[in-house]
Amino acid sequence: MDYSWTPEQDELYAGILRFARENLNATTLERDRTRRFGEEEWKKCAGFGLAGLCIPRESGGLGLDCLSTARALEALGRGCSDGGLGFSLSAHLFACAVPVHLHGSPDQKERYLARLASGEWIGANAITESEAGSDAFALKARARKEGDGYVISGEKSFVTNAPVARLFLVYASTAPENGFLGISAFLVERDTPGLKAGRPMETTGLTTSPISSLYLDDCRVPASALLGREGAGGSIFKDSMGWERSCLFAFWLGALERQLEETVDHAKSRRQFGHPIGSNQAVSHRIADMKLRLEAARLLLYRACWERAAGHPSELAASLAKLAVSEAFVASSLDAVQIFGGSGVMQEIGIERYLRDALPGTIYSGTSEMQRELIARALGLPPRRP
Amino acid sequence: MDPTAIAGKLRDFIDREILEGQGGDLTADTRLLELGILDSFSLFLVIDYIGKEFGVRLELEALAAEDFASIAVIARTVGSKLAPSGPRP
Repeated sequence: MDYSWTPEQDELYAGILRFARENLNATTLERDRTRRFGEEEWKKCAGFGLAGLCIPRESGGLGLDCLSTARALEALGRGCSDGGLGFSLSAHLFACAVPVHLHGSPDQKERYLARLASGEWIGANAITESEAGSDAFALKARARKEGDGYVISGEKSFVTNAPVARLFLVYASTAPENGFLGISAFLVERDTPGLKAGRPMETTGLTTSPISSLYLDDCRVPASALLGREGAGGSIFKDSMGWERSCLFAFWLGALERQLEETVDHAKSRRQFGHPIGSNQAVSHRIADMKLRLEAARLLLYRACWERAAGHPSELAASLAKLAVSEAFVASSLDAVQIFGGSGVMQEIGIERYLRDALPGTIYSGTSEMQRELIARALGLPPRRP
Repeated sequence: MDPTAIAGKLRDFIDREILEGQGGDLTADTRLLELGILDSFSLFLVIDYIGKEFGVRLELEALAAEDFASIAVIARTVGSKLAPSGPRP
């Protein structure tokens, strides 16, 4: 078993890390406080190719495979202190651009992919509803055929990037009687009459990632807005979640690495009772546990990415990776706050922001409970009766 | 294997693994999707079972609701995809 990266992957990692450290951190604290999306930082990321990491070169992306994409995002997460920016970028990529790349018609790819890959257009994914969270396919949003197109109606919640997105991948039921197989996916442009983004939500973490509800009021789209075929929406969404659970969380691996470095530095330099606090086992063992969580989560994540890159992605591997990284981030962020003591809860130090950014991670892309459910099913444990 | 035998195995699987033995009324023509027997979880259990039991790999992306309307329909789909050498013993 070979765990090494290729020279190209090492170069990619080093280049993105340097880019992120030099370009993306100057205003994080101020924008975190004011809940402001980093438009300039987005443009810089886009200019560096980060909005289209795994989109083919002929469509304006970097054409990276799944492993290299994750490695690139890990570098970004290590170098960029703006977790909301990384989250917005990843949501744009995996929940909108990738589905267009994988399932779009030649016309849809022609119209959207280069714009998404270049970051000129920001993408969003709209599936969650107030009554369809973990039960993501219990959608109330409906799309009915009318003339040569569809009319979509419904309300979507927690749509990452909605306040700034130009393109929405909207999931709605075209045949409610068919449940999961009655869901269809539509590409809806921002200026479509009947589509309206709500007021940005005030979330605990990821404050610089603009998130809002999305309202579709008899929103009329042409037949060409259908992504894939009618009834394929569930499959498209499941596929994009596989990408998201495998790759998106690589960004947080990078954040965990940075958090660990900062915590080790602090434990070496902070002295109490005449000694560095890191000489106390109560502190050093916490740090050892942080390292253990990071490395274990990293192995699981790259295992999932390797399976995907090799052409046999598994839901089990993606769920294990997502669960491990997201829960490691919460646990290690609590440890970091405790080790930093008073300064750990001061906003300007940045340590408490890890914890705030970590909290939503056990919820979005499928809650920890749903990941454990998927893992249990993969082990052959019986499902709950319908 | 003829579709009736495939349908029998599918019925037993759905009754045992999804309905926990409460599927006494389940027939080959029961509307699986409309009645919510196959949801986004149980659908994949059935697809996985078909792969293991009959050696038939169903790609979700290529499947439509009509393909999972009832046990009889699924059995016909599986039967049509079985290799000439038949299912695994």
